[in-house]
Amino acid sequence: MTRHIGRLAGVFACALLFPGTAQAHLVSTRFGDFYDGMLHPVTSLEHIVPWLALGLLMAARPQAGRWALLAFPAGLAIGVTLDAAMPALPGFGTANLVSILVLGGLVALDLPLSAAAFAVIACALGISHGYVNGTAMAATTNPVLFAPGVVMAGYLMILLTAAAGAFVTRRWSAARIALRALGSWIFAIGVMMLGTALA
Amino acid sequence: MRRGAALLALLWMALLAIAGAAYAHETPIAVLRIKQETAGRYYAQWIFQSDKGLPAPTAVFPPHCTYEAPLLDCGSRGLVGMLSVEQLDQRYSGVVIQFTRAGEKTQAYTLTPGSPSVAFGPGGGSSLAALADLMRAYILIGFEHILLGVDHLLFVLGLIWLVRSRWMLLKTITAFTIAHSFTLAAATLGWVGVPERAVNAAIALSIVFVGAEIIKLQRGQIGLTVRHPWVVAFAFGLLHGFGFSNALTKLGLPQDSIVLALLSFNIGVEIGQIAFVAVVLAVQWGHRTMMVHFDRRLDPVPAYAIGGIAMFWFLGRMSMMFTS
Amino acid sequence: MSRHSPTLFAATLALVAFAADTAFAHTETGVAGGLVSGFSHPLFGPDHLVAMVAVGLWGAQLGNPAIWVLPIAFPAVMAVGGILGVMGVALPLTEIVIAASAIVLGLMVAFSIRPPLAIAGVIVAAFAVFHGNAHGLELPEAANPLAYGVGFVTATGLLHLCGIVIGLLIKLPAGAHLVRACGLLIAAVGCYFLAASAGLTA
Repeated sequence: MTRHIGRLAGVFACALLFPGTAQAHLVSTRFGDFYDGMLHPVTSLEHIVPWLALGLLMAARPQAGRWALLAFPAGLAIGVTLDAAMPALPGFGTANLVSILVLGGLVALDLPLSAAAFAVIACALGISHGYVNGTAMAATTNPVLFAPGVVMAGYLMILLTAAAGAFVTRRWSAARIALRALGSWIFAIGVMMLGTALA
Repeated sequence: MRRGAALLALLWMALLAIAGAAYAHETPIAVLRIKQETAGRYYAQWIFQSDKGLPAPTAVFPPHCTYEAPLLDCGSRGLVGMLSVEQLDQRYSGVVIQFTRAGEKTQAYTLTPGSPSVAFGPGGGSSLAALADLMRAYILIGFEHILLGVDHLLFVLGLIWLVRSRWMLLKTITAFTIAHSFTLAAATLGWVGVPERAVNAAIALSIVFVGAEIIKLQRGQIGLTVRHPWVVAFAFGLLHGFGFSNALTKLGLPQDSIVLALLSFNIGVEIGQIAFVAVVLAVQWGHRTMMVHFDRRLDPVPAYAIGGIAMFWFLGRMSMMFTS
Repeated sequence: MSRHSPTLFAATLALVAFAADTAFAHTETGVAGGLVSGFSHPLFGPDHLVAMVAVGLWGAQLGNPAIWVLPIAFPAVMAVGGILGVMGVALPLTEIVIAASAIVLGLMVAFSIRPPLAIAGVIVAAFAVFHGNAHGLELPEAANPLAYGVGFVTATGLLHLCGIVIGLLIKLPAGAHLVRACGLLIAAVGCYFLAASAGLTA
């Protein structure tokens, strides 16, 4: 049992301190399916990058962007549930790569998105990513615990990213440019990842 | 205020009125003897089974050990860590482990379905690495315990909610920490004995109390907790410490380095608690920065939820106390 | 109010955190390797490195709007070269063009030349396409392409930032000279690499 805890703690430390050090790891937890669900998306760049991008997008327009705080977790919940009901649907992996490109591009363009646009984007992103996180469930995993874990991780990540972004842009106007540049970089990553996947 | 006092009284009554009731019944026991041969190598064998018809229980040794009956090889670290016995409640009511280190007296450990594992410390000639192993193991156990201990987290959540300033929050959380560390140590070291089920029920009631205080605050009544949150945190902290102790003793403690294990467990609990508080505060800050507001009519919902869940636990734990 | 809402949320957390003991596995190979190799790639190619800093310096020198248009547009343009790279299309003369771009950008900074934004954009874009192509070619070979991408993007972005921060020194009296000296240095490094790629050095 200590073995499992040790392994989990290692993963935890990696995830918190420096996601990069988690090389070839096996996320095996004794903390139950809730924490498994919470940990899964934050140990994978495939989810971290677009979620950060969503947070940055919200940071640029806090008034409208906060609707994503409702829509994104709802989408994640739908996505994980969808996976539990209908596993192995194709196309979600590619959709997630496209999401990196689209969100990065939106951050770079700094368009004045409406609340409705935020809700739609966040919900679609949530469904797609929730579905892929759902595929990490083993046969013994309880989706009733795993799904809220994923939802919680998503909510925390976009809320804190958005709040941090909004905070610095309010303080320093130059941060807004840095934010857009970051979006542009994320867009570039998305384009190349999509190219890699399709090539 | 009056209702709060009533609740408090009820809580302490629940604690004091019920003495631990021991009950016994006949079921088979088995004895496992572990003798040290050389450094890191042991001879481990089941030497007694009260009912010969049953297969011997399965012992699970620490992961760095390899067991090929009857030889147990634990390498340079030695037999340090958790030993547990599987299916204890299904076949055996108890297992006795006789552990003899080279040149030392035999120590006996009793495992029961309630505490199916025992932790071995590094023993007399303990190396620093073995002590580090032990500390790491117990810090992680403490961390795990608080993260899975929904009742403790719910109570801390209620406190954060009631406390109105950062300074007060610091005082309150510190008071809670000191109090539960104190009773955790006292109960684990055997200075005081408290019936487990009564403690669990009382912990549930402490959360109901916090829920009620939140509702009162929303109605503009300044309750005991709002005025002196750290007093309440300290009082209930004593209670939660007993809860931690129950979990820890159930897990098993190395008799030869009990203080270190206790300290490590406590550190793990505090790390988990600080992490939880940090997340809640970060979320509060995030909501402020993102200007997230909820309809005022929704305000009482979380408080009623906390109170409702806790009351549900309380009733469940009370019924457990009387039915078995 | 805002301070109450986390409670709703944490109550949910609490509700669902009941222990369930199943373990599950999730494998991720080479994230660290990808990040490190991606991060170090732009740093260990000195021609890339100086050209990248030059973009930031020049942006700062040109002032508004170039100071923000260049860092934002650069990655998007770079992606064009990148996607060609990941598709396996290698642009010709990559090393020579990158070295040449370091010379051009360095000289622009050294002589504090201020062309219209469009022309500045084209010069930087040409460099960006070739730069992206060089990285894109390596991306699919990385143990974890996404980690590699994140790593090199972080490094490149930080280099821009370095350039911009150094560039901000022009507001100081001696700073303008310092920035121009940096430009000269960059052009010199570019010359060296141009010579190297043409086979003129040992």
